[in-house]
Amino acid sequence: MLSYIIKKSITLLFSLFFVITVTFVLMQAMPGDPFSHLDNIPAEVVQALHAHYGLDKPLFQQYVTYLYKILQFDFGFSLVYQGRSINQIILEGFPTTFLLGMQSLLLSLSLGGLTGAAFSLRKKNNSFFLVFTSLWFSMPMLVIASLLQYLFAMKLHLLPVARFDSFFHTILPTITLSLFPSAFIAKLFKASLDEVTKTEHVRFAKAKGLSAKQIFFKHLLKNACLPVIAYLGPLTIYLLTGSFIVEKIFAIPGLGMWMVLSIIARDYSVIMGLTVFFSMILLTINFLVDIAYLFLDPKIQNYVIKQPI
Amino acid sequence: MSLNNLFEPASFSLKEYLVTNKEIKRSIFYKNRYLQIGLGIFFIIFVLSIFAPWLSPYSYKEIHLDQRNLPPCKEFIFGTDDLGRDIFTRVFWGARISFAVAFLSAFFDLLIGVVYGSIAAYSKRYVDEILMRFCDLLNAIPSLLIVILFVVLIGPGFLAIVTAISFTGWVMMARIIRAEVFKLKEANFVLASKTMGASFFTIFFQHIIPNVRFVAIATLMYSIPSAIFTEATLSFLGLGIQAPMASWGVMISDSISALRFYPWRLLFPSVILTLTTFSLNMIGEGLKKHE
Repeated sequence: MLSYIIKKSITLLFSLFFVITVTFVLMQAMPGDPFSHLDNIPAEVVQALHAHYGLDKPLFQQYVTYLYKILQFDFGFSLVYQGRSINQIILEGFPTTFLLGMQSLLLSLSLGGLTGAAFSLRKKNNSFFLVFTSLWFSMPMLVIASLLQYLFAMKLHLLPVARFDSFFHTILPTITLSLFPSAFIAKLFKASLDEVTKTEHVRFAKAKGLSAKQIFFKHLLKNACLPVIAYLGPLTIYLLTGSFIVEKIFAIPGLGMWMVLSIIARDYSVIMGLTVFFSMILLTINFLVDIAYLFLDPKIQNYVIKQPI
Repeated sequence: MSLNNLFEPASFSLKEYLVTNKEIKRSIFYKNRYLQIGLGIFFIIFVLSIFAPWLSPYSYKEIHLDQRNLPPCKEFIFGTDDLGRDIFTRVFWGARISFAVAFLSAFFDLLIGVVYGSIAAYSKRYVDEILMRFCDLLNAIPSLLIVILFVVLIGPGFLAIVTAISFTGWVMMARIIRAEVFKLKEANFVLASKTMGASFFTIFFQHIIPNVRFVAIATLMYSIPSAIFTEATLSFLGLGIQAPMASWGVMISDSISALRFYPWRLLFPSVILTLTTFSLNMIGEGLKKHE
Protein backbone atom coordinates (compact mmCIF):
# COMPACT_ATOMS: atom_id res chain seq x y z
CA MET A 1 0.00 0.00 0.00
CA LEU A 2 2.83 2.32 0.91
CA SER A 3 4.58 1.56 -2.35
CA TYR A 4 1.39 2.54 -4.21
CA ILE A 5 1.30 5.87 -2.42
CA ILE A 6 5.00 6.43 -3.06
CA LYS A 7 4.56 5.60 -6.72
CA LYS A 8 1.68 8.04 -7.00
CA SER A 9 3.65 10.80 -5.26
CA ILE A 10 6.56 10.29 -7.65
CA THR A 11 4.09 10.58 -10.54
CA LEU A 12 2.74 13.76 -8.97
CA LEU A 13 6.18 15.34 -8.68
CA PHE A 14 7.17 14.27 -12.15
CA SER A 15 3.98 15.70 -13.68
CA LEU A 16 4.54 18.95 -11.87
CA PHE A 17 8.08 19.09 -13.20
CA PHE A 18 6.74 18.35 -16.70
CA VAL A 19 4.16 21.14 -16.51
CA ILE A 20 6.73 23.68 -15.29
CA THR A 21 9.18 22.69 -18.01
CA VAL A 22 6.56 22.89 -20.75
CA THR A 23 5.37 26.31 -19.62
CA PHE A 24 8.96 27.52 -19.47
CA VAL A 25 9.70 26.27 -22.98
CA LEU A 26 6.49 27.86 -24.28
CA MET A 27 7.34 31.10 -22.53
CA GLN A 28 10.69 31.13 -24.32
CA ALA A 29 8.99 30.36 -27.62
CA MET A 30 6.60 33.28 -27.28
CA PRO A 31 7.27 35.91 -29.91
CA GLY A 32 8.90 39.14 -28.87
CA ASP A 33 10.65 40.50 -25.85
CA PRO A 34 8.59 41.17 -22.70
CA PHE A 35 9.62 44.82 -22.95
CA SER A 36 9.24 45.28 -26.67
CA HIS A 37 5.89 47.07 -26.20
CA LEU A 38 7.60 49.87 -24.26
CA ASP A 39 8.46 52.48 -26.86
CA ASN A 40 10.93 55.36 -26.59
CA ILE A 41 13.06 53.76 -23.97
CA PRO A 42 16.84 53.97 -24.18
CA ALA A 43 18.73 50.75 -24.64
CA GLU A 44 20.39 51.05 -21.25
CA VAL A 45 17.05 51.02 -19.47
CA VAL A 46 15.99 47.90 -21.36
CA GLN A 47 19.28 46.33 -20.41
CA ALA A 48 18.76 47.26 -16.81
CA LEU A 49 15.26 45.76 -16.93
CA HIS A 50 16.69 42.55 -18.39
CA ALA A 51 19.29 42.43 -15.65
CA HIS A 52 16.63 43.08 -13.03
CA TYR A 53 14.43 40.21 -14.18
CA GLY A 54 17.43 37.96 -14.84
CA LEU A 55 16.73 37.76 -18.57
CA ASP A 56 20.37 38.39 -19.53
CA LYS A 57 21.55 35.13 -17.97
CA PRO A 58 21.92 31.90 -19.96
CA LEU A 59 18.71 29.94 -20.61
CA PHE A 60 19.55 27.01 -18.38
CA GLN A 61 20.27 29.26 -15.45
CA GLN A 62 16.97 31.07 -16.04
CA TYR A 63 15.22 27.70 -16.06
CA VAL A 64 16.78 26.65 -12.76
CA THR A 65 15.84 29.97 -11.16
CA TYR A 66 12.29 29.63 -12.46
CA LEU A 67 11.99 26.11 -11.09
CA TYR A 68 13.47 27.14 -7.76
CA LYS A 69 11.14 30.11 -7.47
CA ILE A 70 8.03 28.09 -8.27
CA LEU A 71 8.97 25.49 -5.67
CA GLN A 72 8.90 28.36 -3.20
CA PHE A 73 5.48 29.41 -4.54
CA ASP A 74 6.88 32.54 -6.11
CA PHE A 75 5.28 32.86 -9.53
CA GLY A 76 6.90 36.10 -10.62
CA PHE A 77 5.50 39.40 -11.80
CA SER A 78 2.90 40.58 -14.22
CA LEU A 79 4.38 42.20 -17.31
CA VAL A 80 1.39 44.38 -18.10
CA TYR A 81 0.08 45.50 -14.72
CA GLN A 82 3.05 47.19 -13.18
CA GLY A 83 4.12 46.14 -9.74
CA ARG A 84 1.55 43.37 -9.45
CA SER A 85 2.91 39.99 -8.51
CA ILE A 86 1.18 36.81 -9.58
CA ASN A 87 1.09 35.68 -5.96
CA GLN A 88 -0.97 38.74 -5.16
CA ILE A 89 -3.36 37.93 -8.02
CA ILE A 90 -3.73 34.37 -6.76
CA LEU A 91 -4.30 35.50 -3.19
CA GLU A 92 -7.00 37.90 -4.31
CA GLY A 93 -8.71 35.71 -6.86
CA PHE A 94 -8.42 32.21 -5.55
CA PRO A 95 -10.90 32.39 -2.61
CA THR A 96 -13.67 33.49 -4.98
CA THR A 97 -12.89 30.82 -7.56
CA PHE A 98 -12.59 28.23 -4.81
CA LEU A 99 -15.97 29.14 -3.31
CA LEU A 100 -17.65 29.06 -6.71
CA GLY A 101 -15.96 25.78 -7.58
CA MET A 102 -16.91 24.10 -4.32
CA GLN A 103 -20.54 25.19 -4.61
CA SER A 104 -20.71 23.89 -8.17
CA LEU A 105 -18.99 20.65 -7.17
CA LEU A 106 -21.54 20.02 -4.42
CA LEU A 107 -24.48 21.00 -6.60
CA SER A 108 -23.40 18.84 -9.54
CA LEU A 109 -22.62 15.84 -7.35
CA SER A 110 -25.94 16.01 -5.53
CA LEU A 111 -28.04 16.86 -8.57
CA GLY A 112 -26.33 14.31 -10.81
CA GLY A 113 -26.27 11.62 -8.14
CA LEU A 114 -29.94 12.04 -7.28
CA THR A 115 -31.09 12.10 -10.91
CA GLY A 116 -29.00 9.08 -11.82
CA ALA A 117 -30.13 7.10 -8.79
CA ALA A 118 -33.79 8.01 -9.27
CA PHE A 119 -33.84 6.91 -12.90
CA SER A 120 -31.84 3.77 -12.19
CA LEU A 121 -34.14 2.66 -9.37
CA ARG A 122 -37.38 3.38 -11.22
CA LYS A 123 -36.24 1.39 -14.25
CA LYS A 124 -38.69 3.35 -16.40
CA ASN A 125 -38.36 6.25 -18.80
CA ASN A 126 -34.93 5.20 -19.90
CA SER A 127 -35.11 6.99 -23.21
CA PHE A 128 -36.55 10.09 -21.57
CA PHE A 129 -33.54 10.11 -19.24
CA LEU A 130 -31.15 9.68 -22.14
CA VAL A 131 -32.64 12.41 -24.29
CA PHE A 132 -32.95 14.72 -21.30
CA THR A 133 -29.34 14.37 -20.16
CA SER A 134 -28.02 14.53 -23.72
CA LEU A 135 -29.89 17.76 -24.32
CA TRP A 136 -28.59 18.97 -21.01
CA PHE A 137 -25.01 18.54 -21.93
CA SER A 138 -25.30 19.60 -25.53
CA MET A 139 -25.36 23.22 -24.45
CA PRO A 140 -22.00 24.96 -24.22
CA MET A 141 -21.39 26.96 -21.08
CA LEU A 142 -21.42 30.24 -22.99
CA VAL A 143 -25.01 29.59 -24.01
CA ILE A 144 -26.17 28.38 -20.60
CA ALA A 145 -24.59 31.36 -18.87
CA SER A 146 -26.05 33.96 -21.17
CA LEU A 147 -29.49 32.32 -21.34
CA LEU A 148 -29.73 32.10 -17.54
CA GLN A 149 -28.54 35.68 -17.25
CA TYR A 150 -31.10 36.84 -19.80
CA LEU A 151 -34.02 34.90 -18.34
CA PHE A 152 -33.57 35.19 -14.58
CA ALA A 153 -31.73 38.46 -14.28
CA MET A 154 -32.78 40.63 -17.21
CA LYS A 155 -36.35 39.51 -17.88
CA LEU A 156 -37.68 38.17 -14.58
CA HIS A 157 -35.49 40.35 -12.33
CA LEU A 158 -35.27 37.53 -9.80
CA LEU A 159 -31.52 37.42 -9.35
CA PRO A 160 -28.70 39.92 -9.77
CA VAL A 161 -27.21 40.17 -13.25
CA ALA A 162 -23.56 40.04 -12.30
CA ARG A 163 -20.87 40.55 -9.65
CA PHE A 164 -20.19 38.51 -6.57
CA ASP A 165 -21.37 40.20 -3.42
CA SER A 166 -23.88 37.94 -1.68
CA PHE A 167 -25.17 34.39 -1.85
CA PHE A 168 -27.81 35.43 -4.38
CA HIS A 169 -25.06 36.58 -6.70
CA THR A 170 -23.55 33.11 -6.66
CA ILE A 171 -26.70 31.24 -7.67
CA LEU A 172 -26.62 31.78 -11.44
CA PRO A 173 -22.85 31.16 -11.87
CA THR A 174 -23.09 28.01 -9.76
CA ILE A 175 -25.98 26.64 -11.82
CA THR A 176 -24.14 27.50 -15.03
CA LEU A 177 -21.03 25.66 -13.94
CA SER A 178 -22.80 22.59 -12.65
CA LEU A 179 -25.33 21.81 -15.41
CA PHE A 180 -22.93 19.95 -17.68
CA PRO A 181 -21.15 17.95 -14.96
CA SER A 182 -24.40 17.02 -13.27
CA ALA A 183 -25.75 15.61 -16.53
CA PHE A 184 -22.51 13.69 -16.98
CA ILE A 185 -22.54 12.40 -13.41
CA ALA A 186 -26.19 11.38 -13.76
CA LYS A 187 -25.35 9.33 -16.85
CA LEU A 188 -22.25 7.83 -15.27
CA PHE A 189 -23.95 7.01 -11.97
CA LYS A 190 -26.99 5.50 -13.64
CA ALA A 191 -24.86 3.33 -15.91
CA SER A 192 -22.73 2.05 -13.07
CA LEU A 193 -25.77 1.50 -10.81
CA ASP A 194 -27.41 -0.49 -13.59
CA GLU A 195 -24.28 -2.54 -13.99
CA VAL A 196 -23.86 -3.25 -10.29
CA THR A 197 -27.56 -4.18 -9.99
CA LYS A 198 -26.97 -6.97 -12.46
CA THR A 199 -24.11 -8.53 -10.50
CA GLU A 200 -24.48 -11.79 -8.64
CA HIS A 201 -23.99 -10.48 -5.15
CA VAL A 202 -26.79 -7.97 -5.50
CA ARG A 203 -29.11 -10.63 -6.87
CA PHE A 204 -28.13 -12.81 -3.96
CA ALA A 205 -28.89 -10.00 -1.52
CA LYS A 206 -32.29 -9.64 -3.16
CA ALA A 207 -32.92 -13.37 -2.93
CA LYS A 208 -31.90 -13.27 0.72
CA GLY A 209 -34.81 -10.91 1.25
CA LEU A 210 -33.03 -7.64 1.97
CA SER A 211 -35.15 -4.57 1.44
CA ALA A 212 -34.48 -2.30 -1.50
CA LYS A 213 -33.17 0.36 0.86
CA GLN A 214 -30.66 -2.00 2.47
CA ILE A 215 -29.48 -3.27 -0.90
CA PHE A 216 -29.03 0.25 -2.20
CA PHE A 217 -27.02 1.58 0.72
CA LYS A 218 -25.04 -1.54 1.55
CA HIS A 219 -24.33 -3.09 -1.79
CA LEU A 220 -25.02 -0.70 -4.62
CA LEU A 221 -23.83 2.66 -3.47
CA LYS A 222 -20.24 1.89 -2.61
CA ASN A 223 -19.57 -0.02 -5.80
CA ALA A 224 -21.40 2.39 -8.06
CA CYS A 225 -19.61 5.40 -6.59
CA LEU A 226 -16.21 4.44 -8.00
CA PRO A 227 -16.63 5.86 -11.54
CA VAL A 228 -18.06 9.05 -10.08
CA ILE A 229 -15.02 9.44 -7.83
CA ALA A 230 -12.75 8.81 -10.79
CA TYR A 231 -14.60 11.61 -12.57
CA LEU A 232 -13.62 14.11 -9.86
CA GLY A 233 -10.33 14.86 -11.64
CA PRO A 234 -11.91 15.76 -15.00
CA LEU A 235 -14.64 17.58 -13.09
CA THR A 236 -12.02 19.80 -11.48
CA ILE A 237 -10.56 20.53 -14.90
CA TYR A 238 -14.02 21.45 -16.13
CA LEU A 239 -14.72 23.72 -13.16
CA LEU A 240 -11.35 25.48 -13.44
CA THR A 241 -11.53 26.11 -17.16
CA GLY A 242 -15.25 26.80 -16.93
CA SER A 243 -14.49 29.55 -14.45
CA PHE A 244 -12.88 31.54 -17.30
CA ILE A 245 -16.18 31.90 -19.09
CA VAL A 246 -18.47 32.15 -16.09
CA GLU A 247 -16.34 34.71 -14.29
CA LYS A 248 -16.03 36.80 -17.42
CA ILE A 249 -19.76 36.76 -18.17
CA PHE A 250 -20.89 37.35 -14.59
CA ALA A 251 -18.04 39.78 -13.86
CA ILE A 252 -16.72 37.80 -10.90
CA PRO A 253 -13.28 38.88 -9.74
CA GLY A 254 -11.72 35.41 -9.56
CA LEU A 255 -8.75 33.67 -11.09
CA GLY A 256 -10.66 32.82 -14.28
CA MET A 257 -11.34 36.49 -14.87
CA TRP A 258 -7.64 37.26 -14.39
CA MET A 259 -6.76 34.50 -16.80
CA VAL A 260 -9.07 35.91 -19.47
CA LEU A 261 -7.80 39.44 -18.91
CA SER A 262 -4.18 38.35 -19.21
CA ILE A 263 -4.95 36.34 -22.34
CA ILE A 264 -6.55 39.40 -23.91
CA ALA A 265 -3.63 41.61 -22.82
CA ARG A 266 -1.10 38.90 -23.84
CA ASP A 267 0.40 39.04 -20.35
CA TYR A 268 2.55 35.94 -20.82
CA SER A 269 3.97 35.67 -17.34
CA VAL A 270 0.53 35.75 -15.71
CA ILE A 271 -0.80 33.17 -18.20
CA MET A 272 2.12 30.87 -17.41
CA GLY A 273 1.97 31.41 -13.67
CA LEU A 274 -1.76 30.73 -13.50
CA THR A 275 -1.36 27.68 -15.75
CA VAL A 276 1.20 26.25 -13.35
CA PHE A 277 -1.03 27.09 -10.40
CA PHE A 278 -4.10 25.47 -11.99
CA SER A 279 -2.08 22.38 -12.84
CA MET A 280 -0.83 22.20 -9.23
CA ILE A 281 -4.40 22.17 -7.93
CA LEU A 282 -5.39 19.59 -10.48
CA LEU A 283 -2.46 17.28 -9.83
CA THR A 284 -3.15 17.44 -6.10
CA ILE A 285 -6.79 16.51 -6.68
CA ASN A 286 -5.80 13.64 -8.96
CA PHE A 287 -3.41 12.42 -6.27
CA LEU A 288 -6.14 12.57 -3.63
CA VAL A 289 -8.54 10.69 -5.93
CA ASP A 290 -5.93 7.97 -6.42
CA ILE A 291 -5.49 7.66 -2.67
CA ALA A 292 -9.26 7.59 -2.13
CA TYR A 293 -9.51 4.82 -4.70
CA LEU A 294 -7.06 2.81 -2.66
CA PHE A 295 -9.44 2.81 0.29
CA LEU A 296 -12.64 2.34 -1.70
CA ASP A 297 -11.73 -0.24 -4.31
CA PRO A 298 -10.57 -3.57 -2.89
CA LYS A 299 -9.44 -4.60 -6.36
CA ILE A 300 -6.66 -2.03 -6.33
CA GLN A 301 -5.54 -3.25 -2.92
CA ASN A 302 -5.22 -6.77 -4.29
CA TYR A 303 -3.37 -5.43 -7.26
CA VAL A 304 -1.00 -3.57 -4.99
CA ILE A 305 -0.35 -6.57 -2.80
CA LYS A 306 0.10 -8.99 -5.66
CA GLN A 307 2.27 -6.81 -7.82
CA PRO A 308 5.23 -5.27 -6.09
CA ILE A 309 5.60 -2.00 -7.92
CA MET B 1 -27.14 -28.91 -29.32
CA SER B 2 -27.73 -32.60 -29.67
CA LEU B 3 -25.13 -35.03 -30.83
CA ASN B 4 -26.98 -35.57 -34.10
CA ASN B 5 -26.69 -31.95 -34.99
CA LEU B 6 -23.02 -31.96 -34.40
CA PHE B 7 -22.34 -34.56 -37.04
CA GLU B 8 -24.58 -33.11 -39.71
CA PRO B 9 -22.66 -31.39 -42.47
CA ALA B 10 -22.74 -27.66 -42.00
CA SER B 11 -24.92 -26.09 -44.63
CA PHE B 12 -23.70 -22.68 -45.60
CA SER B 13 -25.15 -20.61 -48.38
CA LEU B 14 -23.49 -17.35 -49.21
CA LYS B 15 -26.73 -15.84 -50.42
CA GLU B 16 -28.52 -16.56 -47.18
CA TYR B 17 -25.65 -15.14 -45.19
CA LEU B 18 -25.57 -11.94 -47.19
CA VAL B 19 -29.32 -11.45 -46.94
CA THR B 20 -29.38 -11.91 -43.17
CA ASN B 21 -26.41 -9.65 -42.78
CA LYS B 22 -28.17 -6.95 -44.75
CA GLU B 23 -31.32 -7.39 -42.70
CA ILE B 24 -29.39 -7.08 -39.50
CA LYS B 25 -27.78 -3.91 -40.73
CA ARG B 26 -31.15 -2.52 -41.69
CA SER B 27 -32.79 -3.39 -38.43
CA ILE B 28 -29.96 -1.67 -36.60
CA PHE B 29 -31.03 1.53 -38.25
CA TYR B 30 -34.79 1.04 -38.32
CA LYS B 31 -35.22 -0.06 -34.73
CA ASN B 32 -32.83 2.47 -33.33
CA ARG B 33 -34.73 5.67 -32.58
CA TYR B 34 -31.65 7.48 -31.24
CA LEU B 35 -29.70 6.84 -34.40
CA GLN B 36 -32.61 8.02 -36.53
CA ILE B 37 -33.16 11.22 -34.58
CA GLY B 38 -29.45 11.96 -34.42
CA LEU B 39 -28.71 11.30 -38.05
CA GLY B 40 -31.87 13.15 -39.12
CA ILE B 41 -31.09 16.38 -37.30
CA PHE B 42 -27.44 16.21 -38.23
CA PHE B 43 -28.22 15.60 -41.90
CA ILE B 44 -30.55 18.61 -42.10
CA ILE B 45 -28.01 20.99 -40.52
CA PHE B 46 -25.21 19.56 -42.60
CA VAL B 47 -27.09 19.96 -45.88
CA LEU B 48 -28.16 23.49 -44.96
CA SER B 49 -24.57 24.41 -44.21
CA ILE B 50 -23.34 22.96 -47.49
CA PHE B 51 -25.92 24.86 -49.52
CA ALA B 52 -25.66 28.02 -47.43
CA PRO B 53 -24.20 30.19 -50.23
CA TRP B 54 -27.10 29.36 -52.54
CA LEU B 55 -29.89 29.41 -49.95
CA SER B 56 -29.82 33.07 -49.10
CA PRO B 57 -29.47 36.14 -51.26
CA TYR B 58 -26.94 37.69 -48.86
CA SER B 59 -23.31 36.94 -48.26
CA TYR B 60 -21.91 36.30 -44.77
CA LYS B 61 -19.91 39.54 -44.84
CA GLU B 62 -22.44 41.77 -46.58
CA ILE B 63 -23.00 44.80 -44.37
CA HIS B 64 -26.32 46.72 -44.30
CA LEU B 65 -25.62 49.65 -42.04
CA ASP B 66 -29.19 50.94 -42.31
CA GLN B 67 -30.64 47.61 -41.18
CA ARG B 68 -28.75 46.91 -38.00
CA ASN B 69 -30.01 44.62 -35.21
CA LEU B 70 -33.30 43.85 -36.93
CA PRO B 71 -35.50 41.26 -35.24
CA PRO B 72 -36.51 38.25 -37.36
CA CYS B 73 -38.66 39.45 -40.25
CA LYS B 74 -39.59 38.54 -43.81
CA GLU B 75 -36.36 39.67 -45.43
CA PHE B 76 -34.03 38.43 -42.71
CA ILE B 77 -35.66 35.34 -41.23
CA PHE B 78 -33.22 35.14 -38.31
CA GLY B 79 -32.74 38.92 -38.05
CA THR B 80 -29.53 40.87 -38.48
CA ASP B 81 -26.52 41.60 -36.28
CA ASP B 82 -24.82 44.80 -35.19
CA LEU B 83 -23.41 45.46 -38.68
CA GLY B 84 -26.62 44.53 -40.45
CA ARG B 85 -25.35 41.16 -41.60
CA ASP B 86 -27.96 38.46 -42.15
CA ILE B 87 -27.88 36.03 -39.21
CA PHE B 88 -29.37 33.11 -41.15
CA THR B 89 -26.53 33.26 -43.68
CA ARG B 90 -23.93 33.69 -40.99
CA VAL B 91 -25.26 30.81 -38.89
CA PHE B 92 -24.89 28.36 -41.76
CA TRP B 93 -21.62 29.82 -42.98
CA GLY B 94 -20.50 29.51 -39.38
CA ALA B 95 -21.63 25.91 -39.45
CA ARG B 96 -19.14 25.30 -42.24
CA ILE B 97 -16.27 26.65 -40.15
CA SER B 98 -17.40 24.86 -37.02
CA PHE B 99 -17.83 21.59 -38.94
CA ALA B 100 -14.46 22.04 -40.58
CA VAL B 101 -12.78 22.59 -37.21
CA ALA B 102 -14.68 19.69 -35.68
CA PHE B 103 -14.14 17.18 -38.48
CA LEU B 104 -10.50 18.00 -39.08
CA SER B 105 -9.68 17.69 -35.41
CA ALA B 106 -11.79 14.54 -35.19
CA PHE B 107 -9.84 13.08 -38.09
CA PHE B 108 -6.53 13.76 -36.37
CA ASP B 109 -7.96 12.43 -33.09
CA LEU B 110 -8.83 9.22 -34.84
CA LEU B 111 -5.52 8.94 -36.65
CA ILE B 112 -3.27 9.68 -33.69
CA GLY B 113 -5.51 7.82 -31.24
CA VAL B 114 -5.69 4.62 -33.29
CA VAL B 115 -1.97 4.57 -34.10
CA TYR B 116 -0.87 5.46 -30.58
CA GLY B 117 -3.36 3.12 -28.91
CA SER B 118 -2.49 0.18 -31.16
CA ILE B 119 1.24 0.70 -30.67
CA ALA B 120 0.71 0.78 -26.91
CA ALA B 121 -1.44 -2.33 -26.99
CA TYR B 122 1.01 -4.29 -29.14
CA SER B 123 4.26 -3.26 -27.50
CA LYS B 124 6.06 -4.77 -24.55
CA ARG B 125 4.95 -4.08 -21.05
CA TYR B 126 7.31 -1.28 -20.16
CA VAL B 127 6.89 0.58 -23.45
CA ASP B 128 3.14 0.35 -22.96
CA GLU B 129 3.56 1.64 -19.43
CA ILE B 130 5.60 4.62 -20.59
CA LEU B 131 3.16 5.47 -23.38
CA MET B 132 0.19 5.28 -21.04
CA ARG B 133 1.92 7.35 -18.34
CA PHE B 134 2.48 10.01 -20.97
CA CYS B 135 -1.28 9.96 -21.61
CA ASP B 136 -1.88 10.39 -17.88
CA LEU B 137 0.49 13.31 -17.89
CA LEU B 138 -1.35 15.04 -20.72
CA ASN B 139 -4.65 14.30 -18.99
CA ALA B 140 -3.43 15.96 -15.83
CA ILE B 141 -3.01 19.34 -17.52
CA PRO B 142 -6.26 21.08 -18.42
CA SER B 143 -6.42 20.65 -22.19
CA LEU B 144 -8.11 24.01 -22.67
CA LEU B 145 -5.05 25.66 -21.12
CA ILE B 146 -2.74 23.86 -23.54
CA VAL B 147 -4.99 24.90 -26.41
CA ILE B 148 -4.97 28.51 -25.22
CA LEU B 149 -1.17 28.59 -24.84
CA PHE B 150 -0.80 27.03 -28.26
CA VAL B 151 -3.10 29.53 -29.97
CA VAL B 152 -1.47 32.44 -28.15
CA LEU B 153 1.86 31.12 -29.40
CA ILE B 154 0.91 30.54 -33.04
CA GLY B 155 -1.53 33.40 -33.32
CA PRO B 156 -5.29 32.97 -33.67
CA GLY B 157 -6.73 31.49 -36.82
CA PHE B 158 -8.30 28.40 -38.28
CA LEU B 159 -5.12 26.33 -38.55
CA ALA B 160 -3.96 27.19 -35.04
CA ILE B 161 -7.29 26.10 -33.58
CA VAL B 162 -7.35 22.80 -35.45
CA THR B 163 -3.73 22.02 -34.55
CA ALA B 164 -4.24 22.90 -30.92
CA ILE B 165 -7.42 20.86 -30.55
CA SER B 166 -5.98 17.81 -32.28
CA PHE B 167 -2.80 18.15 -30.23
CA THR B 168 -4.73 17.54 -27.02
CA GLY B 169 -7.83 15.66 -28.11
CA TRP B 170 -6.44 12.24 -28.95
CA VAL B 171 -5.72 11.06 -25.40
CA MET B 172 -9.15 9.62 -24.68
CA MET B 173 -9.30 7.94 -28.08
CA ALA B 174 -5.84 6.41 -27.60
CA ARG B 175 -6.83 4.97 -24.23
CA ILE B 176 -10.07 3.46 -25.47
CA ILE B 177 -8.45 2.02 -28.60
CA ARG B 178 -5.62 0.55 -26.52
CA ALA B 179 -8.07 -1.20 -24.21
CA GLU B 180 -10.06 -2.58 -27.16
CA VAL B 181 -7.04 -3.76 -29.13
CA PHE B 182 -5.63 -5.32 -25.99
CA LYS B 183 -8.79 -7.40 -25.61
CA LEU B 184 -9.04 -8.23 -29.32
CA LYS B 185 -5.49 -9.34 -29.93
CA GLU B 186 -6.03 -12.27 -27.56
CA ALA B 187 -9.49 -13.09 -28.91
CA ASN B 188 -10.08 -16.55 -30.29
CA PHE B 189 -10.82 -15.51 -33.86
CA VAL B 190 -7.59 -13.55 -34.00
CA LEU B 191 -5.63 -16.49 -32.66
CA ALA B 192 -7.37 -18.73 -35.18
CA SER B 193 -6.42 -16.44 -38.01
CA LYS B 194 -2.88 -16.30 -36.69
CA THR B 195 -2.60 -20.09 -36.63
CA MET B 196 -3.81 -20.14 -40.20
CA GLY B 197 -0.79 -18.05 -41.06
CA ALA B 198 -2.25 -14.60 -41.49
CA SER B 199 0.29 -11.81 -41.38
CA PHE B 200 0.21 -9.05 -38.82
CA PHE B 201 -1.20 -6.54 -41.27
CA THR B 202 -3.96 -8.87 -42.41
CA ILE B 203 -4.98 -9.46 -38.82
CA PHE B 204 -4.77 -5.81 -37.95
CA PHE B 205 -6.71 -4.43 -40.90
CA GLN B 206 -9.18 -7.28 -41.38
CA HIS B 207 -9.93 -8.25 -37.81
CA ILE B 208 -8.85 -5.62 -35.33
CA ILE B 209 -9.81 -2.40 -37.11
CA PRO B 210 -13.33 -3.51 -38.14
CA ASN B 211 -13.98 -4.51 -34.54
CA VAL B 212 -12.88 -1.28 -32.94
CA ARG B 213 -14.68 0.83 -35.52
CA PHE B 214 -17.95 1.23 -33.60
CA VAL B 215 -16.21 2.14 -30.37
CA ALA B 216 -14.04 4.62 -32.21
CA ILE B 217 -17.02 6.31 -33.87
CA ALA B 218 -18.93 6.42 -30.59
CA THR B 219 -15.92 8.11 -29.00
CA LEU B 220 -15.74 10.57 -31.87
CA MET B 221 -19.33 11.52 -31.21
CA TYR B 222 -18.12 12.90 -27.90
CA SER B 223 -14.91 14.48 -29.11
CA ILE B 224 -16.58 16.36 -31.99
CA PRO B 225 -18.92 18.29 -29.64
CA SER B 226 -16.02 19.06 -27.36
CA ALA B 227 -14.07 20.42 -30.34
CA ILE B 228 -17.05 22.64 -31.21
CA PHE B 229 -17.27 23.82 -27.59
CA THR B 230 -13.55 24.53 -27.49
CA GLU B 231 -13.82 26.59 -30.65
CA ALA B 232 -16.67 28.58 -29.07
CA THR B 233 -14.64 29.15 -25.92
CA LEU B 234 -11.63 30.28 -27.90
CA SER B 235 -13.78 32.73 -29.86
CA PHE B 236 -15.10 34.07 -26.57
CA LEU B 237 -11.52 34.68 -25.45
CA GLY B 238 -10.78 36.48 -28.69
CA LEU B 239 -8.57 33.66 -29.92
CA GLY B 240 -11.02 32.19 -32.39
CA ILE B 241 -11.79 32.65 -36.05
CA GLN B 242 -11.06 36.24 -37.01
CA ALA B 243 -13.53 38.64 -38.63
CA PRO B 244 -15.18 38.76 -41.13
CA MET B 245 -15.45 34.96 -41.09
CA ALA B 246 -18.28 33.66 -38.95
CA SER B 247 -18.34 30.73 -36.63
CA TRP B 248 -20.90 29.79 -34.00
CA GLY B 249 -18.49 30.72 -31.25
CA VAL B 250 -17.82 34.13 -32.76
CA MET B 251 -21.52 34.84 -33.23
CA ILE B 252 -22.44 33.74 -29.70
CA SER B 253 -19.69 35.69 -28.04
CA ASP B 254 -20.43 38.80 -30.15
CA SER B 255 -24.07 38.65 -29.15
CA ILE B 256 -23.46 38.42 -25.41
CA SER B 257 -22.59 42.07 -25.02
CA ALA B 258 -25.90 43.12 -26.58
CA LEU B 259 -27.95 40.40 -24.95
CA ARG B 260 -30.38 42.66 -23.14
CA PHE B 261 -31.70 44.29 -26.29
CA TYR B 262 -31.14 41.80 -29.11
CA PRO B 263 -31.59 38.30 -27.65
CA TRP B 264 -32.28 36.70 -31.04
CA ARG B 265 -28.68 37.27 -32.00
CA LEU B 266 -27.75 34.79 -29.27
CA LEU B 267 -30.72 32.50 -29.77
CA PHE B 268 -30.24 31.30 -33.35
CA PRO B 269 -26.58 30.31 -33.35
CA SER B 270 -26.90 28.67 -29.96
CA VAL B 271 -30.01 26.71 -30.91
CA ILE B 272 -28.31 25.38 -34.04
CA LEU B 273 -25.14 24.58 -32.07
CA THR B 274 -27.11 22.78 -29.37
CA LEU B 275 -29.09 20.81 -31.94
CA THR B 276 -25.87 19.74 -33.65
CA THR B 277 -24.17 18.53 -30.50
CA PHE B 278 -27.42 16.93 -29.38
CA SER B 279 -27.68 15.00 -32.65
CA LEU B 280 -24.07 13.84 -32.33
CA ASN B 281 -24.77 12.69 -28.78
CA MET B 282 -27.82 10.79 -29.99
CA ILE B 283 -25.78 9.10 -32.72
CA GLY B 284 -23.25 8.11 -30.07
CA GLU B 285 -25.95 6.64 -27.85
CA GLY B 286 -27.47 4.80 -30.79
CA LEU B 287 -24.14 3.27 -31.73
CA LYS B 288 -23.46 2.30 -28.13
CA LYS B 289 -26.75 0.45 -27.97
CA HIS B 290 -25.69 -1.78 -30.84
CA GLU B 291 -22.43 -3.14 -29.75
